[in-house]
Amino acid sequence: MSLLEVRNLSVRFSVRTGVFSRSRAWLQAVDGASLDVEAGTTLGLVGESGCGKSTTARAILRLVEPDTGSVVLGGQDVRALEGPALRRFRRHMQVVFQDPMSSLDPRRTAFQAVSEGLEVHGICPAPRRRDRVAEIFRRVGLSGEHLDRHPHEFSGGQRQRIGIARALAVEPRLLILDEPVSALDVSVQAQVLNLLEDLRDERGMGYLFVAHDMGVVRHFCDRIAVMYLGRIVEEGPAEDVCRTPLHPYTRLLIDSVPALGARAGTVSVASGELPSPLAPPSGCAFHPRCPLAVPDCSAVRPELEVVDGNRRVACPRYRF
Amino acid sequence: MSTLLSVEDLGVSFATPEGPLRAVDGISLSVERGAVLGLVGESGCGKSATASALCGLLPPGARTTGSVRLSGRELTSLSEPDWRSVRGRRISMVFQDPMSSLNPLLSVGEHLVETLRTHQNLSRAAAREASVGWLRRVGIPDPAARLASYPHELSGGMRQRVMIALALCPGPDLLVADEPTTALDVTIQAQILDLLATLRGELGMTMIFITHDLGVVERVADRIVVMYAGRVAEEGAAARILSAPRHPYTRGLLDSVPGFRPRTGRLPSIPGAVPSRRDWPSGCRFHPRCAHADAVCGESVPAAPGPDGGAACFHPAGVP
Repeated sequence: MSLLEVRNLSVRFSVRTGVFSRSRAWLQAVDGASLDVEAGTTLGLVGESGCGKSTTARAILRLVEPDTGSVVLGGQDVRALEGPALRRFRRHMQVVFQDPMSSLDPRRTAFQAVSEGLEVHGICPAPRRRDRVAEIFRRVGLSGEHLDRHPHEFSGGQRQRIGIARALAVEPRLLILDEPVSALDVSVQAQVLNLLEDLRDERGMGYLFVAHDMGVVRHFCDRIAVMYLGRIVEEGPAEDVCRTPLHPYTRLLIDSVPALGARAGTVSVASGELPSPLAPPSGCAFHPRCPLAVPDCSAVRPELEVVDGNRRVACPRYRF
Repeated sequence: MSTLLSVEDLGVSFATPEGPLRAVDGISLSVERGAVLGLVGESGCGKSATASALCGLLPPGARTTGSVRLSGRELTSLSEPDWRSVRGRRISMVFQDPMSSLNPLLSVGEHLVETLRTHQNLSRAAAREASVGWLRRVGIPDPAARLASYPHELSGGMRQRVMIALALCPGPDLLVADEPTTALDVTIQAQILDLLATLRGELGMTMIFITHDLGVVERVADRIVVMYAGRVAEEGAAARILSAPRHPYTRGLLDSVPGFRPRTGRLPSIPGAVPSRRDWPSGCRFHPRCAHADAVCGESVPAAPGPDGGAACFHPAGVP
């Protein structure tokens, strides 16, 4: 059994359709997503803005309530938990967000931010908390002198290390990383990715890594799930998906990355933009932009099918 | 080819309550007519301050030193009224976030008609017709109908297309594009980069393209200037810089991009963080992070690259 098993997860939001309008519409942010994260491995969840990748992560954490589907972490049905039981369970699933400046309280010191989880979950008695936090700080590449500083006194990379320390402090089994290096400079990004990799290997945590940068995902993840308009359209081992993408959308995504070594003119740029998630196209949502589309694609919505034993793709025409 | 823009020993300082803060510290570069120069660096390296100085858009209180010549005309001594005849018509800009450059109360058509009539002696009807032509040229579907749209009704990619049309319609000699695709999804970014390449071919455009993304710069630039802590670290032909970097910083930057190569173990990273403008190191500003640094690097400032390019480094790679 996997550490995290998500089955058929759907989330929809009610949105107002105009500035002054009272009419409301349903936005299907996540539509029947299923994924697994094994302990000690990283699953990358990729896609463009609005594809539902962050909402999927938040629904797993119960920061938004899913409509349907199940989330099972270490055998525990997360959706069955309520109130204090849910709060207690949260130590097993932690999150690191993109912008540590907006997820850290500017008035609290780094020590206070990191020790809060120890206190809430009763992990470490008060007299020993400072030593414990100092130890975690050292592990993430900060030092004892950083303990009493406020968020604005740190660089972006250091703030992200505080975010990681805070998540680690409660010894989670699953760490959800929501674009954790997107706001960092390239030279600092590499340091943080290496740190996250070491921590995962040391502690055997499972990672769900939400990102839009295919280069980062290819380097960092064991498996990749690609989302388009709320649905997972492809899933498989990272290297296979990047080297031989099956779904036409994955191919577009990978061809679009201005990769080092791939010179201009080699890219097929798809016409069209992401459709509105309020009015997704019928059938396969990618069909209006798809070079392989046939009339059937607008009628039938493809389900994920297993290919080559360990890959899944939601496209009947991927062989073309 | 003739030189369109030549920048010599340009310095930019901003006024702060603690006194002047130097953001650009004596950079020299030149752009040939019809060429694309990529200006690359991490946050705080001074690339955007350089762009603002080139466009006469520095905030009040900022001071520039050195010289910026466009077709031989000195720009640093221009008064604001003089700038108005240069900006737009001679030098045009595209920024990262089109939403903050477009007036939310004006339609796309009003933006274009006003810009065209400011710079050219056109009747309203002729300006409208020219506007439709420009929207078509930048790949906006149904351009006549789009004239009536307001910025908020457009997607990010479409807004950036409108910004490009606005920047190019006065027929500028030089386009300064400051991270024009950074806020866009990768498939849309690919479309915009393609559009810029097409327009460059059609109009013989000269461009300075500012970015932190080495993959993007490879796709657009003929020459590259790498900036670090307010100075030029390396300059040269794009292909040379990307395949055989001489400055250890350039090398480190290229290595730490989680690239589109199969992974080969840990990601090489540059130790430490980008230094703050308030606290630039002595000598070569990269020396505290550099594996090749010795005593001289901390004491003396390496010579800037000459007109033929090269690295500002005492121990450049590949040079005996």
